[in-house]
Amino acid sequence: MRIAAGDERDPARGLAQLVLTVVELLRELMERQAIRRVDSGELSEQQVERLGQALEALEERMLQLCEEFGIDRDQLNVNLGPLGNLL
Amino acid sequence: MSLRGDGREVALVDLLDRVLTTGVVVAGDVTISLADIDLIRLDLRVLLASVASIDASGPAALELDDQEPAVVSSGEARHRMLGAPRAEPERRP
Amino acid sequence: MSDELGLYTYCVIDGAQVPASRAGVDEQHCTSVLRDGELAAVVSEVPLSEFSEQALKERLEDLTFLEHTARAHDEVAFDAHAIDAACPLPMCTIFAGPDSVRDMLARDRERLRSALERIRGHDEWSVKLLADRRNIAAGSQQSAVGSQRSAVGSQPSAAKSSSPGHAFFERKRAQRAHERSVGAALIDTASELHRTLATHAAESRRLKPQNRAISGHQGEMTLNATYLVARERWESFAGCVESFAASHAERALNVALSGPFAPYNFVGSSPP
Repeated sequence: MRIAAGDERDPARGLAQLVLTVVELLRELMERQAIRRVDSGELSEQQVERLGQALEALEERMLQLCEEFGIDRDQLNVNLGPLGNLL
Repeated sequence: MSLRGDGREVALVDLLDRVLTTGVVVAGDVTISLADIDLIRLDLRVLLASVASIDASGPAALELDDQEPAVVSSGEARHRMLGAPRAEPERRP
Repeated sequence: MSDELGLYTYCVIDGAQVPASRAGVDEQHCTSVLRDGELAAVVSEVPLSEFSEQALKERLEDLTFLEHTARAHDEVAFDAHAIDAACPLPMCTIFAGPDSVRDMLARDRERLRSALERIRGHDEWSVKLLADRRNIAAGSQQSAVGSQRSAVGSQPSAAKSSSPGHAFFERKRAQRAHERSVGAALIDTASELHRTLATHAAESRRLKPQNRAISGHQGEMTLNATYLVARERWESFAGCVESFAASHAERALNVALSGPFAPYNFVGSSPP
């Protein structure tokens, strides 16, 4: 299975793209999981507040990392052939 | 856009979608047909299986009701080639 | 043994037709017409050593050979269909010899004849609708993200609650609702386009969206459909495509019309 890790002309950038894609995948999964838990009503107001702030900080950090590496957030992706794109 | 006649330019993918998987299926003593050939390479198998590629870049992915699973075995691809209609049936409004 | 030849069969035509001969998929051999009464097949000889299952399995993985063969196959079928109706066969349908081809024509005579009648004077056209969600959603989303980025934890003016953590979830909820509505609108638009175009066509068929890795298309393919259009109705069909594109220009939708094709999708074993 071939994984197209973005910019193959610049291996360092390609690697950064791959790593950031994985990080972004985790972040999105966490975000979705959190949203489900909040919507289910099982969390206290305090928990919702803390979770929201943590996820916000995470999203902000992600955008900063993309800026630092000069990668557009929309470019973060990995093509898994028949499984489509990772994100 | 499109051009008629000799100037006709057709994208390869549109062509392959047609010559590989459609066309009249004939009975009889066929020596060899594409349906008999098990194409190994991943991207060709992807092509034969016509995997749906709805872009799921956002949290809310489009959900079409008869979307097929992403991973298809070559056996299933072969079945599709043997004349089972490849296209989706007309969706009722 | 290595010189043994098979008959590569491109399409089935009316027995009275004699399309011009041209180079076949194997350039050493030209096409010819093999007739059996009211039907005929366009064929060309191919060396079975190069077109056996084993050989094809390997050669078809080479994109150059695949493209060459696909285009040659299509050009023969297309030329035949331009003159008079031709039922294209799938690529690489090879018979042992003329008797096998004639047997096939005899066996499927009725089905092939009715297919020819149905497609005569019609061409197949492909219509795809491509949407760039980012352009559609750009307006409302960017302002939300932008205001968040300026100072983490600051309160967005549109938020209902005052605390940043809650505001985060509200923003996400709004984003998802927006994306869902954009998605639903795209599905509706695609269906509307397909319904409208179908009224200008004899037959129509929705196909699976193409795989981006192969087609290289930009955006999301919300419609991939193919239409059997009578030649005298092509102007109104194309006009319909153009007016749709014009009326949706501001929504970052791209309508791609391509063709004509020989009617691959409308000659199958089961009626649409």
